[in-house]
Amino acid sequence: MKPADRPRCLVCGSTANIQRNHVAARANHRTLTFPMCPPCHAAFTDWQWRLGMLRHETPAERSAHDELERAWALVEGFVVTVALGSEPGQSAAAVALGRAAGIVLAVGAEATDGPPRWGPKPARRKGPAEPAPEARGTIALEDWLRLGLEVAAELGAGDPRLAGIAAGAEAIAQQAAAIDEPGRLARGPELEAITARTNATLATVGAIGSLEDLAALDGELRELADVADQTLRLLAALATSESTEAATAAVEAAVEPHR
Amino acid sequence: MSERRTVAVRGYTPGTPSSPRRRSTRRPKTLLVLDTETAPSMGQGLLFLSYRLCRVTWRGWAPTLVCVEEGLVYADDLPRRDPVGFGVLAAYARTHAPAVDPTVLDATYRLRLRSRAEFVDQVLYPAALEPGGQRAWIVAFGAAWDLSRLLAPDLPVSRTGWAAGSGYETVEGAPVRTRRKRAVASRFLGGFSIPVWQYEAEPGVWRERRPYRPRLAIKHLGTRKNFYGWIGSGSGDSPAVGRGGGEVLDLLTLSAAMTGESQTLESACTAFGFAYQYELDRLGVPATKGTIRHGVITPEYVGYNRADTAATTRLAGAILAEYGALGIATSPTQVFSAASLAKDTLDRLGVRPLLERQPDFDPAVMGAATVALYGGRTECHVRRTPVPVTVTDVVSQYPTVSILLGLQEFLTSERVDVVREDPAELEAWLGGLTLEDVLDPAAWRKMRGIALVDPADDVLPIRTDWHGDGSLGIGLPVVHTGSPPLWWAIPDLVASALATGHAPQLLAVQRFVPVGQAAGLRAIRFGRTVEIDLRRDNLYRALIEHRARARANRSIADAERRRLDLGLKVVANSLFGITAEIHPSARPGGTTAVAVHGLHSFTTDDDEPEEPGRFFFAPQAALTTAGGRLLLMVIERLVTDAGGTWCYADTDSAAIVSSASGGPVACRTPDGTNTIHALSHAEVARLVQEPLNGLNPYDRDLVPQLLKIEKVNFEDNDPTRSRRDLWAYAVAAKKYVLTVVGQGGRPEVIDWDVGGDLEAAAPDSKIVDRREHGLGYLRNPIDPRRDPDGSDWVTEAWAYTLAVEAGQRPPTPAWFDRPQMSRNATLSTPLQLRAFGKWNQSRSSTDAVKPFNFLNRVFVDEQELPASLRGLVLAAPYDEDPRSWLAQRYVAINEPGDRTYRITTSRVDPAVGDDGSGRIRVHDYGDLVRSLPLHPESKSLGPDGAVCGPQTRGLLSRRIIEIGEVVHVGKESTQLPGDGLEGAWRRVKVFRERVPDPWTTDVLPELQKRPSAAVALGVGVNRSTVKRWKAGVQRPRAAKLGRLRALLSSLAITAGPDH
Repeated sequence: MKPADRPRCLVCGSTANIQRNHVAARANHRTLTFPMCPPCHAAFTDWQWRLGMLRHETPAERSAHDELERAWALVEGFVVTVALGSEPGQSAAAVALGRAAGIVLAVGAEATDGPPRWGPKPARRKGPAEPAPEARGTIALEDWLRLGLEVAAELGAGDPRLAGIAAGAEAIAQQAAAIDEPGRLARGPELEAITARTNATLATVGAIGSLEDLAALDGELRELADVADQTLRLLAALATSESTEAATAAVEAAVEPHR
Repeated sequence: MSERRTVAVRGYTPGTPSSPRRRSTRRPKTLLVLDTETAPSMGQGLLFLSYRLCRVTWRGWAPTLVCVEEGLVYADDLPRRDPVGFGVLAAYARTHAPAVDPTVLDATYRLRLRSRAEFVDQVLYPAALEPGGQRAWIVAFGAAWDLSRLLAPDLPVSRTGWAAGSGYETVEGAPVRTRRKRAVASRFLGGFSIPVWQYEAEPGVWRERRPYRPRLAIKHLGTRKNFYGWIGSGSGDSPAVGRGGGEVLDLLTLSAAMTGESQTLESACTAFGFAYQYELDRLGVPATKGTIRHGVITPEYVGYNRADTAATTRLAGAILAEYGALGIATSPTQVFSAASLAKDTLDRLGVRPLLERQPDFDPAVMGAATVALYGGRTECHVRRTPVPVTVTDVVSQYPTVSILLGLQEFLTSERVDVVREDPAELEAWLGGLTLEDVLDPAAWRKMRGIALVDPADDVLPIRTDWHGDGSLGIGLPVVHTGSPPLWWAIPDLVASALATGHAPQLLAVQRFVPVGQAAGLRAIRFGRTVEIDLRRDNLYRALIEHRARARANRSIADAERRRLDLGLKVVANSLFGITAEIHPSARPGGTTAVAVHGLHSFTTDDDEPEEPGRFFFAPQAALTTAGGRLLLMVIERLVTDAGGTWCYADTDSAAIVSSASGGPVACRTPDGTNTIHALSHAEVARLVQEPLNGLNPYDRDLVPQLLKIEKVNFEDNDPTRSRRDLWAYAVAAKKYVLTVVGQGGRPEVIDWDVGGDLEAAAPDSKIVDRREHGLGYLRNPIDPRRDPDGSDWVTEAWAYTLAVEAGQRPPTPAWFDRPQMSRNATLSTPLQLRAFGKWNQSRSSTDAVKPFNFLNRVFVDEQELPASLRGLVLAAPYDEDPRSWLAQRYVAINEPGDRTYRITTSRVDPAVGDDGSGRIRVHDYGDLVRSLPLHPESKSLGPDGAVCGPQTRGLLSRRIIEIGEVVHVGKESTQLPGDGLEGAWRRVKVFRERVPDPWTTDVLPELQKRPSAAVALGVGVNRSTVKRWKAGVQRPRAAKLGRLRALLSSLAITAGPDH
């Protein structure tokens, strides 16, 4: 196999000993995998444990994961992958999206089945305590978008409680068509502003107490989806910019709706 | 005419030298902070709690706390016991977001609601205890209370070690197999061991999860001080707990240690720079801490509990930051008092305790110095007569004395030699000593020693039962000729010489001479700006001067100023205490033989031997307090030489009878003139303050006067304002009140015509300071809703007393009829809990009284009680509202059954039958306040020459005492087995000389010479029994002992004396 054809780690680009990483954990999605080198795979898996995506279960329990958990695992898998493959310090938006998804889905699960078995359990954490996955490399944009597309394709499968998440996923899908060049993610104050806005919305989402609350917060959720969409657009624009001027123009365009 | 009295001297019990504790320098990466709420019943079982799990990152010693989980926890039986309350909790959890950091990806999404059992399994164990886990510190404000609420609720009493009619199983008596386990057992000897984990073995049958989960062990050490640990089966470490896991950080203890004052959560928040109310506001709780209704679960109550946890979390961060900035090396979980910080300071300075530097220091000398060890001088001199005063205070008395006497050399020298000196030399020196000589600092260095004195009408401190009630107190009488010789510190002899004009007769003198300089001394930093090095600095002077400098220095940051102010004060104030520190030994087992050194050396039997603390050094302690008493004697002489007198003295302060212009003051006197002379304020400054300043060892720019005129002497307590007309009214030692009066009048002019409101009654007259001595053991009886800020009932009590003394008939405050309620009714030891054994027998563990429960405990008026009910101890569930106290149903905690009693404070209608029907009369606050002025100053004589009694008024004088029997006693405040609720009963340990044991001295040596078979045959027992006798593990009972003695006698006659 030519070197160029060898599978590469989605996160760091390594070609050594590439493994197939189940992005949402095997119990939640048996086939959706991404190539990762063993160190990146290990870091990813560590976060799957910390988030409660992986946990000690009997086979019966493992086969009983519901649609909400699968959706949550897909989003969190995407979030962890993005965070592992983003520029240092740029994972805040991904974290915000991941927490938003977690809160919304946990509320949904609580309303029907009681507190979900999934989700983070900080008391059981062993090992380092960094607040978010630390960047291990920079995901090639095309890979990043492919990941988003694949995850999005698996979401929104009929459960009305997934509307908010599906909206975010749709935003990812829309970006795919607009971008055709690989690039690198960049950092800017505008991105931080959007992240802050995301977090502000999260504060509202965090107060959701029931499905009724969820319905009442329809506007806020749309806002959240919109913010996620704008964030992703900005990231994409920055990634494809080849000059400072182009990047500035892209940022201007992206943040215009927020002014 | 003298009286012959038994006096007590302290004895020194060397104990086992404690090795320096290995310091834990581990800084936790996680904190588990919690705060509990309890049911308003006698059982005070868990209602619910809130917790926060915080990750900690450290920059140096400054922590940053990030909350990653917040949750609510309900009692296991709450859904059944209080379904409505449980519903409120569940709804609250659904509708409120957790206060987690939104930038942490694996922070929990929701405010988790768990049962107690789930919490201990899913949070407490994995986060704090599990081997290989995070080893989080468990943080609470008053952790003993909060953690003991976690006990497993369904375990039957008999199975959880609540031994018959008793409380929880103690570590005491548990098998001790290994050295490590022995250490753990010792540490918690006499403490509680509380089961937390349980499982349902079969329907309705619950068992404890041992050894797979540990027990919580708590040992009460003193007010606000507890040891915490997690122990396994028996008494050793639990294999289910990771090494170093489960450390408990009690912020109640740590905040008190770091500020030198008792703190509430609110006051601690303020002391460390933020407002508690902020946390309530942030959580949207429309209330203040004082207005929350406890016991009924409402959204506000849950919010309040979360605010408590939030404030505790923030306080933990603030205290740990301050702790690190002060450079303290001891782990915060191992700090139990300000003394811990002082010891830490000495350790960091490289100071090794004297007994480590010099393990061969003669224990007999240490014993003699312990005999010379007395506390501060406290006395009332003008009784039940208001007099104008200037209240003065010696700046940092014990550090000052330590500088004057050069006591730092005891800390930094290589060794301290004991030099025996010809007593005639010291006697001659004392004979020629004048007041001017004592005011020269050079004279003080000659006082580093003790002397055996043959008393001859000398003024010396003694310890005796002044009131005839079994309590010991220290007084300064004239010790009459004919008293047996005792050891006193040389500063006391100097004080006596100043008081009497003659030198005491000395029989022996031992001087303490520091030699060389110890190795290993090093410089340390306090905060960012202060460095201390004992090779260069005097520690005591440095602490006082750096503190004064920091307070005056506006160029340093406020935080640093506050840090230095608190930190330096706490260490300076605690350096004396650690040289006199004695604590009960934690040796497992029963009575042991203990060596006692004092006037002579002997052996005693003791079931809880005392051991000296690491830095105990009796010569230093005795000299420090004696130096303090000498300073007061110097003040007494300066005042009396100027023609004045004093109203009271209290360790480091003296109230000098003094007014703006001076002059005569009416007061009964022994000489019949019935007038004493008040010095003018100017005379106090010129004739007392200025001469004493010759002893001022500090930089005069920082400490201009050694004798400080207290703030209370000035308008609005502001020393920059003018002096006010301050009057003192004293009843006994430590029982006094300070008032100011308008128009230059006297306190008698207060016109008491408004119920209880002193300020309204006399706008210009008010109480500006008062002591709580004799009152402080009771709770505030004033309705908290009438005055949410907490009315000062002690001040009202004194105001009432003053008005009565003035011949008025003040209206009786409403709270006079309320039952006296103990402030310290906390069950802190298994022995105390034993009093509730019968009560607990008939109750489920939910309703049973548990460790560290608070109670409403009243004091039964025995005189109004039928003989059949004598000894009744009544208590009820804790209720803070005084209006409810009379209406509560009380239980007799020392009798079985569910029987409840009603109480009354009325003398007219006690109406109690022999069977306890009707109402039991209990003492009310009125009883106490009316008797307030009647507490006699028994250490003194009244103006009529008789021993001071309840009605004595006027100028008191020294009693003349002839020492009779001398007994050796232990530490005065030791709480011993058999005591009841904390603070209720205390007694002093008396070291009785061991009576020779004839078995050990006569029988056993003879027995060991004889063949076992012959003895067995002669006595009629088997041979193995005789071998056990010979080995000392068993003794024969009386009948067999008689036969054995007879046999040994006959064998001795037969064999002859040489066999």
